[in-house]
Amino acid sequence: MPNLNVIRLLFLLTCLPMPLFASLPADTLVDLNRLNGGIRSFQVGNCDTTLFEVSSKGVVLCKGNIPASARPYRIDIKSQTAEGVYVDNRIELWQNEQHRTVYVEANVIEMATGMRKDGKIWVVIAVVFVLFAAVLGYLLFLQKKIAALENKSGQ
Amino acid sequence: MNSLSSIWTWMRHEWQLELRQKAGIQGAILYVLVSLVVAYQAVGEIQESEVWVGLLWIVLLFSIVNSSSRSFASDSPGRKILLYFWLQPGQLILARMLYQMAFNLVSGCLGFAVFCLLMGLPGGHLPVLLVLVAVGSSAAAALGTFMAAVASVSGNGPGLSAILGLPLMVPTLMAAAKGSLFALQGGLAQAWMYVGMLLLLNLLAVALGYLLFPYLWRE
Amino acid sequence: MKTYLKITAVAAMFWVIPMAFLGEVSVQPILHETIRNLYWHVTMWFSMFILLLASVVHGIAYLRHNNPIRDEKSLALTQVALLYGCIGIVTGMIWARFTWDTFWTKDPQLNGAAITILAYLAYMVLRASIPDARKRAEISAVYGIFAFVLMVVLIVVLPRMQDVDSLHPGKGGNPGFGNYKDLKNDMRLVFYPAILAWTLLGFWLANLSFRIQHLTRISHAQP
Repeated sequence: MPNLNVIRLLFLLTCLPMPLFASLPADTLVDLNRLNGGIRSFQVGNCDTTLFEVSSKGVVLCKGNIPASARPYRIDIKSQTAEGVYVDNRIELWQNEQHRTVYVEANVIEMATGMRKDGKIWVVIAVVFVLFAAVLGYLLFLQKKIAALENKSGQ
Repeated sequence: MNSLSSIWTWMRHEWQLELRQKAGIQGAILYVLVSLVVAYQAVGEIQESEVWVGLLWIVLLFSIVNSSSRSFASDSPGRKILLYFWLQPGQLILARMLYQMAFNLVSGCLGFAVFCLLMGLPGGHLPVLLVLVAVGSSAAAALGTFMAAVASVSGNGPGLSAILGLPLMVPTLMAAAKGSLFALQGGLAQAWMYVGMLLLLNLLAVALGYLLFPYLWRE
Repeated sequence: MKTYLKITAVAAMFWVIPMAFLGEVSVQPILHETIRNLYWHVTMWFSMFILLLASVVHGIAYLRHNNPIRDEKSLALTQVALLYGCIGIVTGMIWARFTWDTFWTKDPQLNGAAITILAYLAYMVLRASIPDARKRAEISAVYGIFAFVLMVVLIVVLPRMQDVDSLHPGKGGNPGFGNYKDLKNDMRLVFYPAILAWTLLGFWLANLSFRIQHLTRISHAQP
């Protein structure tokens, strides 16, 4: 069962590229592969494409100068890990005169696969079917009654 | 053209009738002034744009609904028969709609002027606001006139015309309010877009009214 | 109403009901599993729109040929459409309570939906206030056309004119439901049959309702 996994990382990036990211392009903000244990695929949600770019490998890059602002810049990326679990990543970035600060928050998106695995989902389906069958039966009953009335009044 | 001149003649006739009935113009002016004074006593000068826009359009709505619902209400049955023979239905509705649109345009702009005087103008581009008020009032007036026609044909009076008219005026008012908000907060391009939208609504109301009124008038 | 259409409606529902719970859906933040409500809530609104369109078509046909049957059909369709609209609003409120923690929010589409219901309630009031049948039919046909055109403007045109900061899918950076085609699934396979099912069921309900009202009117007319 996937449990809720909230990761909060704080990176302090200066304007000089860090040797830690020597293998990555300059001005990398976040590497999703390092964050979620490796991703299989991702989907970019909200992102200002004039300031940021998400490369095809799941690396969030910063294009050029980010203006200093009181509000954090937000990027939402939904990724699927190698095990198939969906993770919702929110990356927030502040820029002031001294430095940039990046917050990353990752939440696993829970789905009700448990209920389906247990077979309980069939109970739900059966209930809805019964309700619909009842409505359908009533419709058919009404239809017969109306047809009978129409025949009677037609004669 | 014969029909154009008869529309114009009828519009002038409506204006003279309005002048003769004291309740007409003075009533409209009184509604606007009284509501503005009450609002001013309660709120004073308004700094926040949303409150300003909301109050402005409620006051304008009040006066537009009142004046446009009176357009068909004062028709006695004798006058209705007279109109039926004198004018084609399309000409009648166009004349009444255009008259109401012009009247409410002017009264809306005057109301807007007094509103600015009392509640102040928290920033914003005055010409755009004026255009928005003008076009918005005339669109709402066109709709109100048609709903007054529906209410009068159904024989149930001005109360029904408000019930029918207000839900349908909501798109117009929403467009006008959003546009005014943009105008106050500096988004001029969007505000002009809303002016275009209001012009379209205006045309839509007049066109639909012109097409559908003959069916009403058959009664 | 043709039998094959009714069978299609039932068959479509029999497909939609299990697939709505078992099928693969797009995984979205905030929504999680409630995205399945898409098949019920959103399809209601689409069906309501189609039913109202049919009602307006009958209204226009009445204005051209003055056949009172058309007016009765128009009324029945509008009644079912109002029912669907109310269901749509209630299901929307339930959905909102669980995903956004509130029953209602300031969003143009929600506003538009509420005003549409108001306008068609005004239509019912209008009908109730006119005793003469022929007059009632003419006037409600005219008002129905007006209401439909303006509602299209209200729900379809106005919300698209600006990107409001709202949680409703399609606004403020939330992916609209057109983007729910995720990596593997295709929700449209259940979505379109659901619209078909609700619309045909709506036509069936309207058909039955119209026939009952017609019979009642005939039996009252004859002494």
